[in-house]
Amino acid sequence: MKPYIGVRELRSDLQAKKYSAVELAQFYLDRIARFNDRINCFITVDTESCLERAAAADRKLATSNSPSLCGIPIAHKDLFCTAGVRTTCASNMLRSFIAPYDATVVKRTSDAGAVSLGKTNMDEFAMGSSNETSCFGVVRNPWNLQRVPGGSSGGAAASVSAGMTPLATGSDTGGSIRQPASLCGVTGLKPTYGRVSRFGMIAFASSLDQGGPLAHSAVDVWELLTEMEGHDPRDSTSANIKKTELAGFDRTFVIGYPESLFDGLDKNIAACIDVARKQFEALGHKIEVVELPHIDAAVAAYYVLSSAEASTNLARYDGVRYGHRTESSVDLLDMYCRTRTEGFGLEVKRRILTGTYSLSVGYFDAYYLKAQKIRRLVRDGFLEAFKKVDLILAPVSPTTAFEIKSIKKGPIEMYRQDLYTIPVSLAGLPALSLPCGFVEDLPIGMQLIGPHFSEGDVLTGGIAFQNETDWHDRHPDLETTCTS
Amino acid sequence: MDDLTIQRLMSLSQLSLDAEDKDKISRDLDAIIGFIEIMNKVDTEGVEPLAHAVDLDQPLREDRADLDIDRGLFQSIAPETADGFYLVPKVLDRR
Amino acid sequence: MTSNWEPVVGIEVHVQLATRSKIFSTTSVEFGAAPNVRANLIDLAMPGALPVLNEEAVTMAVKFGLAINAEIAETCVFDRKNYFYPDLPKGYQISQFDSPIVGRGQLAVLLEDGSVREIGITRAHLEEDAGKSVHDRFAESTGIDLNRAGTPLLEIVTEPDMRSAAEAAACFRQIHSLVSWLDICDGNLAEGSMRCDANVSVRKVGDETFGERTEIKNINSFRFVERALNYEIERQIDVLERGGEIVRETRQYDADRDVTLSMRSKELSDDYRYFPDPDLLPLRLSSTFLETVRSTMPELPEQKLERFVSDYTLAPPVAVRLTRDHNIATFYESTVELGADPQQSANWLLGEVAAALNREERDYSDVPVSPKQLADLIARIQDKTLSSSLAKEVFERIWSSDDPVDEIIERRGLRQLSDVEELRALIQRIIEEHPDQVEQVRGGATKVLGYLIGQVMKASQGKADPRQVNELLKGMLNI
Repeated sequence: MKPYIGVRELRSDLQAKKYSAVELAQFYLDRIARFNDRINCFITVDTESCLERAAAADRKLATSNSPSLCGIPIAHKDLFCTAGVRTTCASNMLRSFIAPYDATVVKRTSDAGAVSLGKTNMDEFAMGSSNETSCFGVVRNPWNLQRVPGGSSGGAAASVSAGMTPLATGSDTGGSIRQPASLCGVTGLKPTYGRVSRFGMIAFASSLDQGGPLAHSAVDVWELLTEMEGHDPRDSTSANIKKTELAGFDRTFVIGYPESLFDGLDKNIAACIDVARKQFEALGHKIEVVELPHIDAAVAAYYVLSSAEASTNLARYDGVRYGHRTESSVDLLDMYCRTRTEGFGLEVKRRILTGTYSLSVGYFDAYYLKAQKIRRLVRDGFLEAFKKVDLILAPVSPTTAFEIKSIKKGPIEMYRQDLYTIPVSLAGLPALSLPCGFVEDLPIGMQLIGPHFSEGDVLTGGIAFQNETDWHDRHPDLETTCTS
Repeated sequence: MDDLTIQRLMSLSQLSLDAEDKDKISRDLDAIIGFIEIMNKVDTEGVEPLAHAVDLDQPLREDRADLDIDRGLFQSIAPETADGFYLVPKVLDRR
Repeated sequence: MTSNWEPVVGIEVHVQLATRSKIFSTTSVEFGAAPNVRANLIDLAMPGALPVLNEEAVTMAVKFGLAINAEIAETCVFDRKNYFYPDLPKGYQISQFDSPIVGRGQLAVLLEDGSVREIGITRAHLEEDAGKSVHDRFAESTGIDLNRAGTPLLEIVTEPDMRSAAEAAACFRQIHSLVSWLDICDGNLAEGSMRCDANVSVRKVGDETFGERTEIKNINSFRFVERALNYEIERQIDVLERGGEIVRETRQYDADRDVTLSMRSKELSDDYRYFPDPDLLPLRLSSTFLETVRSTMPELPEQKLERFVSDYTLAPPVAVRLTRDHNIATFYESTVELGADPQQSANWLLGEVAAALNREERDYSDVPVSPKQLADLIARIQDKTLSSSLAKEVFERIWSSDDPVDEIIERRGLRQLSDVEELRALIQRIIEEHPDQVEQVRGGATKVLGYLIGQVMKASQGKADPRQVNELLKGMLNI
C-alpha cells in the first residue's frame, strides 16, 4: 500500500479486494500515528469509530451496489459538526464540544461510504492564513516543517500533502482552501457560494463561507465534490442545481489572463504560472487578457464584511448552552465576559472588535455599506470579464509557504496573503487551486476561476492541465523531513 | 482609536482585555481601520450594496412541526442545567 | 388642572402567529411544555445551525397586510438585532429593520361610544420571539427556558394617532379582534399571545409638535393598557406642570401597584448593530403568492357588516356589534343559516346570550349554546309554541345542556297552552272561584282583570299565553 493514491484506483482496488477498507484505514491511521506529532494536522483521530466504519464499508463492498466513496478514507476540517466526535474549530471555546448532530457535508460523504479518519487542524474559527491561530498549535508544512501550511484549512491541506488521507474537506471564506492547497502542493476547490450546504459547518462569515474538497488531483476533487454538493433544504442559501458534470476533454476554453494581477507578484511564482499559461495554449485553449477592477479595495471590503458577520456569528458563544464557561463569575455579565475572553484567541477577538466597530451606529455607512457596494463592483467586474472568457487563470498566493512566526508586523501583512483569493470569494465564484511548480523546493499553485456554478468547466480545465503535468504527483518525503 | 471607543466595542462584544492585549489590539485596530480606508478611493456613487454574490431568493419551508426533541442529548453538553432549565448567574429581568 | 394637556399615544403590538412550527425551525410552538423540550438545535443556536423561513408565518403576515389595505413589500429583508441576553440564544434576534413585509395601512377602531376612528398602521414586520428567563425558581441562578425562542411574531406598529388611554386600549382590542378574525393568532392574552408596548407623550392642546415620549413595555391586557397609560399620562403632566422634563426611557407597568416604573439598565447597550442576516436571502413575494393568499382571506368585518345590513336589514349599530368579533359573527350567521329570523337572532345574541356570557365571564368563542339550539328556540317562539317567558326558561336549560330544544319542551311540558277549549275550562274555573273579583271587574275595575289573568296563568303553570287569556276572559265576562 502507498500513501499517495487516487480515488479511482482506491475504488477499483477495494472492489477487487486487493485490500480491505479496514486495512486501508489502518494504513492511514498508522501513518497519522507516525507523523502527526510532527505535522500536527489532526486535532482528533477517532481510531475506533474509523475502523468500525471501515468494517461497515467492507460489508457494503461485498454487495453489488456499494456507494461511490465506499471504504475511502477522508478527513474533515474541524468546523464540520460530527455527532459523537468533538468539533473544536481549533478554539478553546469549543475545545471539548461534542456536536449533537452531523453537518450535511459529513452526513453526505458518510452516506457515500467515505470513512472518516478524524478532524483536521485549522486557524481558530477559520480566521487566519497560516494555521498559527489554532489553540492546538500550528500545523507544519510537510514540505518544510519550519514553514506554515497556509490557512485556514491548513490541517486539511497538510494531511493530504503528507499522505495521511486521500481526501479532505475544507472551507473557504477568503481563500482558506485555495491558499493552503497552494502552499502544500495539493489540489483544492472553493465551489460557487450555495453549491455545498453550510448546515452544520460552523460559521465564520455566512455570506462567504463555502465548504469544498481537497485531494491529490482535480479528478479526485471532482469525485469528492459530487458527494458533498447538492441542494439542502436546511440551508436557505443552498442553491437548487444539478450535480457537477465534467465537460468533454475536447472542449477548448477561452482563458482570461488578468495581466495587472501579476505585476506585483514574486517573479518566480509569476514564471511558474506563465509556463502553465503556455501549456494551456499548447492544449489548444485561447488566452485573452482581462481586467479585474478594485482588487486592493476588495481585500479591505472583505475584512469589513467578514469581520462584521463574524462578530455576530460568534455572539452565540456565551457559556450558556454549550462550550466553554468560565470557572467562577460574580454575575451574568461577568460570566459572559470571562467566558468569551478566555474562550477566544487574539485574532478572533480582533475580528469581533473590528466587525462590531463597522456595524456600530455612526460607522455603518462608511464601512459596512461601503464594503457591500465594493462587493457589487468586484462581482460585476468578474461577470463582465466572463462575458469574454470561460475561465480566468490567476495566482493563488503572493508567496510560497513562509516561515512560522515570520509575519509579525501586524494583521495587515497577513491579510494581504489573500489578495488573489478574496475577490473571487466576494464574487461567490468557483475556483480551483492546483499545483503549477516549485520555487526553492516549495510548491506553488495557481487558480482557475469560473462563472457561478461552472465547476464542471473549472475542473475539466484543471484535469486537462494535470493530464499534461506532474506537479500534483510530487510529494514531500516525510521520512526525511520528519526525522531530520 | 481612543480608549472610550475600545471600551465600548469590548462592552458590545462582551470581551475584556488586559492592558497589554488592549494596547496591542488598539494598535491593530488603528492599522486595520487605516487599511480599510482604501475603500474610499473607489467611487460607489449610485451603487447598490450587495449582500450575497449569487442571486438567489429566500426559500420557504412548509409549516410542519417536529415534536421529537432530545433535551437530554442537548443538555448533556451544557455547562449547567437543572430541572430542564439552562442555568446562568442570577439576573434581574430588564424586560 | 389637566384639561389643557393632550396625550399622544402610539402602540406596538407583538402578535404570536398561530403557526404549527417556529418561524425559522421545525420545532412545534405548542404552549405549556416542560422547559426546553420545544427547542431544537436551531432554537438553541448550536454551532452550524441555520434558519429556514416558515411559509405560513409569511402568509399570515400578508393576510394582516391585506386586511388593513397595506402595501405588501415585493422584496423584504431579515436583519439581525444584536444584543446579549441569556434567553436570546444566538446573541441576536432575527427581525426586520428597514424593510418590513407590511407597509402603511389603516385600521378602523371601534371606540367605547360606538363611533369609529381610523388609526394609521405604520408597518408590521416578522421577527422571532425570545425565550423566557425564570428568576424565582433557583436560589443562586436564573433558569432559561427556550421553548418560546423562535416563535413567530408579527410586530404591528401604529402611528401616534391616539389621543387617550381609552383609544389606545380600543386600538389594542381592535387589533386583537382582527388577528383573531383572520385566524393568525389564538388571541390568548393570558398565555402571552399578544403583548402591547405603548409610546406616550403629552403636549399642550393646539401644539403642533410632540412632546418627549416614554415607552411602556409588555402590557398584556386591554384593561392594563388603559390603566398604565392613564397613570403615565398623569405622571407626565405632573412632571411638566412642576417645571420638570420628561426623560425618554422605557418603563414597566406594575399592575399590583398600578404605576409605571423606569427600567433603564445601564450595563446593557442599545447599539443593536442591525444588518441583513447573511444566513437568509431577500424574501421576494410573487404576485401569484399574493393572489393565493388573497383567495384564502376570510370575509373582513367591514364587508360582513355591509352584507348584514343589506341582506338581513339589520340596523347598522346592530350589525357593527355583530361584526366586532369573528366568533359572534360566525355564530350569528350559522344561526340565521339554520332558518332563524335575522332580527330575532340578533336580539338574542346581543341580549340574552351576551348577558349570560357576561355573567359567567366568558366570551363568544365559548358559547355553551349551539347555533342550532338558538335557531330552534327562535322558531318555537315564532310558531307560538313558546311564550317569551317560557323561551327564557328553555334558554336557561340549553345553556347547561346539549339537549335539542324540542326535547326539552316535550320533556318538561313547557309547551304553551294554546288549546282554546282547555283554556276556556281553566278560565271558567277561575271565574267560579273568584265571584267577588268578577263582580268588581264587571263594575269597571280593570286592575282586578289583571289579577284574574294572573290567577289563570298561575293555574296554567305559566304555559298559557297571557294575551290569549286576556281576550278569552274578556269575552267570557262579556266586557
